Amino acid sequence: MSDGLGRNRDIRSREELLETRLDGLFAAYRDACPEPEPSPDFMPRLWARIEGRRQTQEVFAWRRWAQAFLSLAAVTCLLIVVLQVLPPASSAYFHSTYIDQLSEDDGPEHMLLQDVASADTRPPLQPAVLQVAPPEGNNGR
Amino acid sequence: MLVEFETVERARDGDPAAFTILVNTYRRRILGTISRLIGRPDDVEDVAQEVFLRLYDSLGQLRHPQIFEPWLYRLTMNASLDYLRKRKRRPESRMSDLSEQQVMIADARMGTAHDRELQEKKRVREFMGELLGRVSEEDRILLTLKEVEGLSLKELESVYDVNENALKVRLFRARQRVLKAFAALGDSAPRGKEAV
Repeated sequence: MSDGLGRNRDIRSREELLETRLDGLFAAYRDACPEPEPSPDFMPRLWARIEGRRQTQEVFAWRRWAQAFLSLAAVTCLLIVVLQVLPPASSAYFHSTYIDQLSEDDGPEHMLLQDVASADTRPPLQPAVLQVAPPEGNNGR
Repeated sequence: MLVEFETVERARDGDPAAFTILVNTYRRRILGTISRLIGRPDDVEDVAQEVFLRLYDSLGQLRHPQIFEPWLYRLTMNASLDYLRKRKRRPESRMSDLSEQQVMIADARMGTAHDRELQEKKRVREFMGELLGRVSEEDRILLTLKEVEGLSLKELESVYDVNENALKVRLFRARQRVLKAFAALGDSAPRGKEAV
């Protein structure tokens, strides 16, 4: 029991010692690292890099625009080609005559003509016949 | 704040003179922070250039000039993180990789007390590089900002944009991992500040 307690105390004291030594090392490291002096061309170099990067970004921006334009043009070309290659829905559209079209047409004019035709085929109206009932009291005459 | 809010606003609106003022004011501090975060003096200036380049690109998104400093720290942290991740993929030259003649020249140079001090500092840097290289880049940066840069919890909250409790948990876990790596490295550690 006391042996275990002693071992725990040893471990704790060893950990504390390590912590203290580590703190000391961090402090020594702070002193050991030199304070670097910036070189005289620090600012010119920095501005040169900024300018270089800005130019690169401009080039990239132009390239992006150009790529977008090219993509759009390619898609448009593709669409046109597809429209050219695909056969029209009905070739009769281009080859049939005006009369054929009129006969096939189901458009509004045709409907109107149908209406007129159907109106003509209705039986003519008969004049109304009034049947007048004889007055009461004249039955015997 | 080292600069006035008006300068930040002018730089945000695209004034090159204001941006130059910002860079000139903060570059020394940023170089120091990067130096401690990445531990490679040769590459510090390149990473700093990257930070200010990112600042130039993203300054338009800064809504309030009051949060400029945490914003700049966040950019510094991210650029350093990117550098460390890239460096992990590149082989690093160490003392053991040098030829015998190069080692002899290096040994011969550390004669005086000043040189010995420089050598000790170099050892500390190398050891810390080794130690922090055994944990993730995220842990490394978080602990360096807290323990080496001395950022307060409040400042770290703004840099990481998390609440205090989440930050404390992250810090605790990161520290535990570093302690584990430290214990594994054992007695090769140089004497820290407490022993001086």
